[in-house]
Amino acid sequence: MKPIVHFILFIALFFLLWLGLSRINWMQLFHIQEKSTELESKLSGVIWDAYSEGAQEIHGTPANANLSKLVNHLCSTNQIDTTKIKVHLFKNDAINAFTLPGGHLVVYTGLIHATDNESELAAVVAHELGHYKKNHVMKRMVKEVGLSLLVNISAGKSGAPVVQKLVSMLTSSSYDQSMEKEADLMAVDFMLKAHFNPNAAADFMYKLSADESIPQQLQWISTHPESKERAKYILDYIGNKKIDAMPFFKKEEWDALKNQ
Amino acid sequence: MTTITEIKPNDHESEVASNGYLLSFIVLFIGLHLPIVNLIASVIFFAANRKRSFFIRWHTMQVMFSQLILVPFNSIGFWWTIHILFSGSIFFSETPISSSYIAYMITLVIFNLIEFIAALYAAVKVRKGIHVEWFLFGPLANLLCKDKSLAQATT
Repeated sequence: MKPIVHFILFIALFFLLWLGLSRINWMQLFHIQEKSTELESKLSGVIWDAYSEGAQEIHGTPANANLSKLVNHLCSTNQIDTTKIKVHLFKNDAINAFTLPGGHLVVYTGLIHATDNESELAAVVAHELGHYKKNHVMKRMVKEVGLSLLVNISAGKSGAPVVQKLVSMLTSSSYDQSMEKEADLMAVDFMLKAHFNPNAAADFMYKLSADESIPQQLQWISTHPESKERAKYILDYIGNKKIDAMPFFKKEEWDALKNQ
Repeated sequence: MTTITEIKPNDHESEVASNGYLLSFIVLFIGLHLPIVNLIASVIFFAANRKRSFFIRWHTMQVMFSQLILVPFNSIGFWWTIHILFSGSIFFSETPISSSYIAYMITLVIFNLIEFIAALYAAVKVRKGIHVEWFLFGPLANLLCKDKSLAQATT
């Protein structure tokens, strides 16, 4: 009997001590969170400078305002802090959109032209917001480049070619399958809450993967492989969920975006 | 921890029994990284001394139980750390470093430190021929090590 009582006491003591110590915010005490935020912030500056240099960003047009309106709506309906998202519209015929560290959400005019309706555009934006919310950009960079190199880049110790290579990776290649799926399914949830039709996400992928007339500039879809399979699991995930889609843009707002 | 002075081992018995506790220090640095090493070492030591006197068997068994019970906790800490290190980085991964992880590791250090100090104390006392019985591990050794007939017989 004595060993059993002692054993229970031993286990209880261990877990009580663990639970008690878990109540202390060690992350704050050791400034761990601040260090990671600081690294991300520094990296964000270096990467954004390298990317935006020479790229043709569009400022102050109705298209900018409408795109921001769409992003803000998706964020506010899904508890994402809109102040941390920086929306950028770039003049580029490539069908592409991506997220960069520091909450930079980049959309190319080519992508807007390729969408047939606001829900398709919302699907792409929601997918990128999914990557943002799950911090996939930092996780991916650490996984593919390594923390030590990222620390060097943030401190300005790495040369421009290294930074350029990193930018190229972030803008023209996909995340791993699990991250893509996570962002896809999250996008469905975001769209449902924001009153968009999430079927548009699957439609957009089917459409682009089937359309052979847009081969070279099809970056967003080519960097997101197995589109048909993704469209299928998106449709499966939507299943019988209640879709309460409502028009978002006025006709002139959508036209302003399309004509940019 | 209690000390009993009824059992009177000879000098050789005290030395061998004390070595069982010292063994846990020798493998400590390896055991911290790969906890199973500590358990294997104490099991081998117990197996090698299982037919010797009661005093030796009892103390090697107490050491073995202390390792056996700590190994699952140490192993969880070890694999949790490995998972954090190899799933991206300590900051940006699916399982990043967290307050729960730090609390677990501190708990682990406290328990291992207590075991370390207790082993050090026991090694000194047992070397002097004083029988030391630990909380939990002592009653377990009492339960499984009852045969006193071999006492003094094979030393």
